[in-house]
Amino acid sequence: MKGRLLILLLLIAPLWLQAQTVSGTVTDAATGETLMGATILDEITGKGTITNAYGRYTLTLHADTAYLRVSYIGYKPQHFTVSLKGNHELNVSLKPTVELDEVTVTADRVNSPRTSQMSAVELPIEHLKMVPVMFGESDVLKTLQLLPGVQSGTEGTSGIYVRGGGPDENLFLLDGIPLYNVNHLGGFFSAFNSDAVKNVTLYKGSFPARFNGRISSVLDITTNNGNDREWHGGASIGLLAGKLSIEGPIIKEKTTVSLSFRRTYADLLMKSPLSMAVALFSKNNVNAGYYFYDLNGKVTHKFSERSRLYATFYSGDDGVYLGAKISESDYGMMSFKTNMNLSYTWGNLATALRWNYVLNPKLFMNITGSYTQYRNNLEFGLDFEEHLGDDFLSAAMTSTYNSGIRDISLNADFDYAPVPEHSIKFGTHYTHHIFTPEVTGGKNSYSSTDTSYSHDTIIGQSIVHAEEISLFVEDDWNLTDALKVNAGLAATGFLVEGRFYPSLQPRLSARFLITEDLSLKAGYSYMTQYMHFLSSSNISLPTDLWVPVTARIAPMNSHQVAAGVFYSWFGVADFSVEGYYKWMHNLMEYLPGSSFFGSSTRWEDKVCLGDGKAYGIEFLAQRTVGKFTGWLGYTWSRTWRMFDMLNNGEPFPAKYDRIHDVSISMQYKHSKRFDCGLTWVFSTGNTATLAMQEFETDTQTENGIMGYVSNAAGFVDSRNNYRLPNYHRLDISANFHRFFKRGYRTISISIYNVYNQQNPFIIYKSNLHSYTAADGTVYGSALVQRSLFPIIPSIAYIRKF
Amino acid sequence: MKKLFLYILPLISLLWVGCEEKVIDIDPGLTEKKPVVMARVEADSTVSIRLTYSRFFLDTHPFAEIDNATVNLSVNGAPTTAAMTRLGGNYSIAYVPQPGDRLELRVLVPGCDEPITAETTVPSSPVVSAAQVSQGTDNAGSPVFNIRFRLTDNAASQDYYSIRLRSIDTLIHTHNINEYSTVVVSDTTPRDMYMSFTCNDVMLTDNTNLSLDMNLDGSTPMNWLPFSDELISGTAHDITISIYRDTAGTANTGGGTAGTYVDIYQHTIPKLYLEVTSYSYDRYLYELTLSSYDGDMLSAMFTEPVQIHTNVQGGIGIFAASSRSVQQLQMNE
Repeated sequence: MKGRLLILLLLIAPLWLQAQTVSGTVTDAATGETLMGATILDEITGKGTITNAYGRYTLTLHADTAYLRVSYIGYKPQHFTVSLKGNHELNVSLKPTVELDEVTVTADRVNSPRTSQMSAVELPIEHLKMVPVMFGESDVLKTLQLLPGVQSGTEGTSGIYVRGGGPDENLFLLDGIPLYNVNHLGGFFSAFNSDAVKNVTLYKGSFPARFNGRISSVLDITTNNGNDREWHGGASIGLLAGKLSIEGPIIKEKTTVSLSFRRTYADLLMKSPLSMAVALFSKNNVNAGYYFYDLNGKVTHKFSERSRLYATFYSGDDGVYLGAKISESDYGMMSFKTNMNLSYTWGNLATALRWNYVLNPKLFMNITGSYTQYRNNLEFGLDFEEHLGDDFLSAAMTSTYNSGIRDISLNADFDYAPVPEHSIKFGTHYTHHIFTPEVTGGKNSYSSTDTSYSHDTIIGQSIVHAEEISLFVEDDWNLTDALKVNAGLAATGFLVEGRFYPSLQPRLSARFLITEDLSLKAGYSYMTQYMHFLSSSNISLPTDLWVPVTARIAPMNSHQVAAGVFYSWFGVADFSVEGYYKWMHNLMEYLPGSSFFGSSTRWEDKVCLGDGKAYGIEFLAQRTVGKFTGWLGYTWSRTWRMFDMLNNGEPFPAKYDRIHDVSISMQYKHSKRFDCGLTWVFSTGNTATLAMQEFETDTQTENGIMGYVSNAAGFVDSRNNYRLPNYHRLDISANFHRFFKRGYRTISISIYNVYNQQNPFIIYKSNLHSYTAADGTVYGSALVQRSLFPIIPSIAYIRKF
Repeated sequence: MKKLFLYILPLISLLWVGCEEKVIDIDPGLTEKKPVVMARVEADSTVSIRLTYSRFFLDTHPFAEIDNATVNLSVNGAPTTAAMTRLGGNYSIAYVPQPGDRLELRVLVPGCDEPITAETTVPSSPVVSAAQVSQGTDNAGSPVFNIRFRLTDNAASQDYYSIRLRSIDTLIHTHNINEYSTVVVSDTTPRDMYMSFTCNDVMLTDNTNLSLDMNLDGSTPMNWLPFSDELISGTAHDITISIYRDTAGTANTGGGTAGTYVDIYQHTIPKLYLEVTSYSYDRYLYELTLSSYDGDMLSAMFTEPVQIHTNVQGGIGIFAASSRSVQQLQMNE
């Protein structure tokens, strides 16, 4: 055995000894921003690589000389002749293309026919800004919903359902930090401010081994580092929110800062009208409103070409507040006053410190320490005050409800390119989770002329600590010129309440190049998820919370296989067809009759575990170059759930099982001053559980409205037995740009739901309507739908300088 | 600001007009009525079956009875010869099922092509020790009645149970009509009594060891809590139920004021009945799903939908058996 190993080493060693490495960083020449996904290709050998998330690349070649072509979408390619007498450092600054009235924005670098990665899409930020949007607010998640295999939830919300998975099965990474809440305004906006975003990559399957912790998708978002040459900024005003951003060098070409801030102003605008309206009917004062904001900040410092430090900060909150003077009476000697205050806030706080260091030309290291938290705070207060002459009495009561999750993480990631055929990533991630499913507090105080007391109570302080660790290695291996494999293995473990859940997760994807532009790809991945999100399927409630696996609730896991054909037509258009089949285990659903309200203390009693399966085929045709760009996507898919405790153990379609899903997204750049876009979506309606028949029971049940009791009960033959009408919608947008000496301004006009399609948001029985059945029978009530968003025109003003 | 209002007002108008209710057309196949069988078969009681039609959920007419069906009952594979009587949609068969009997029901309804069938096996009676009643105090010093008994589960089978306490005795008590006068009400009619009791048993609380407040129910079986023997399979399990004096709830006292609080110490509750029932699996699922069902449109928006269990082929409903053990308890000795 030892002899065989020696022979093998002797055979391989010459390859290692002869290999020379070119490495460096690719940046934007104008801003100094590192470019992720830039291509470095040796045109002599045909070997190439792409830059990582920090713009860093390593290319190892068996040659004396390399003729390198460095290219990036939207930038002028550059060529370099490199003499490979030893390892070579080559930093490249690419200039943006000057033909601004042409765009090449939808190129999909991670999913091209040449890469081994499949089931992934990269969303260029330029495209994001051209897609028609609701309320003039471009949105990362809503644009991703237009891609095959990605479905939206309820209309207008930004939750994503990837290949039959649930909304809690997606890992959202902002500069590598997990975010637990990615929605604002109950899901109508995502938490990602497009002004702060640099790259968006969504993995729907064939997950690289470095990603762990969720079973359905990984959304990897990178934010801007900031311009290291000069200061720039921008401001925009939309229908609901305004944005401010600024970036520039603190120390030129050394230290940069980038800040972006977004806030709704609906509460500020509505404050006066609301107070006036209340004043019309009573003397009471009311101060109520809703707001959300997010703040992204990033400071980058370059110690040297080999060493960089990044500090990332994100804070985003939603808040609802209500303050009211309920009563006030003044009778001279005697007076009373009662006030009420309600405050509900929820959101994320995330921060990370990251250090990149090039250990040697073949080895790149990234060390990250991060903290992220999702918090959910509800506070209700009532106070009463009475004065009678010199005597007084006051009482106050405050109730609080808090829940959340906090993570403290330390990650070490390495990129290693020992020989031209191998590009290896390995590392370890450790996270300490602190779950606070529910803490309820109460405070009472009383004081009068003679006495006073106060009383504090905290109950349900059930903090749960858990440790999660992962070790991973993946190798992007060029077996032959035609065959490339990305093989990986992740070993993860989760320790909670003395119980350890280990998981070994193999990942594999392979590409077989039939011609230069045509390839076949296939992949397999196994993923494990150690936490669940307790949430109603329709709306966000204060009781929504993240909970860990327990002795009774096992980790979720999924196996997914996928295969597809990828074709690039003269570099102008890309076509792909992908099929997938996914098995999911230990999915969680609420038990029949469980209420989404109430204490979370016994949440395990309200849920059950089961399995799921999803399969489908996705078609994508996209034009990537020219004035006219866009894509056509179509998905045929089915998603089923199997739970012993639900539907008599029989399989049933998931709520968002949509058989057909079509999306067309087109952009036309007429000139430097004008571009426009169009989006049309169609999908099979959602499923719903409806009792279409009622039957007589021998027991009285609550029925109708407000607890009316009868002996009638609804009969549901199967869960999710009713299919809502199909959903379709057309959105259009036009952007008018005007350029100044310094910067430009854009007026963006968009119309959401152009032909005012009445898509169902909620369905219910209404006694205000009658219904005539096909046989002529007239009923005194009807099943009705109510839509949420009719035609909505919006306008946004954007100024960049 | 003026321009802003000029923009916002038409937008709000659009939202108002654009989001109107729209009637949904329904597949005619979904409006068709189905035959419904309702038969809770009790060991040691004759078999009663009620046959009705279901109705389309928009229909508000009373449920139509099926009074012309042909009903056949087989016991352990042989048709029973017991006499059958019929009154409207109510069919009564003079057969008294015994634990272990396998009952098969076959109903032919004119107009239905296929027969309606269902089957059930009568479970064994639960093995319950004689219950003991004692008086004590809880942690706060309040007096309680403790009812303690032992349930012995059969290891060889998967079993399902429910526990019920009820009082159908004469209720004579004094209560306050209002704060100014006291009226003595002599009520000789059996009345519903609702009182809180607590049972910390792991079976009822699903291993969470938390208190569960339930109604002590006089007549309606709405608040039964069926449970499986998953946690006590094959063991003898002691169960204690505590009734709290201070948490006596509302009672329909018959004096004209429903909803008055009653202290159970101030009047006579000579007897309570402890009923422990074994269910067949279908019956267990039916009771469980029925107790979870809430047809209230408002609360249904915030709860998971419930499919009421049915085991009737070719129709809707339940034909499922149970066996009961009943003990009479004297509370205030």
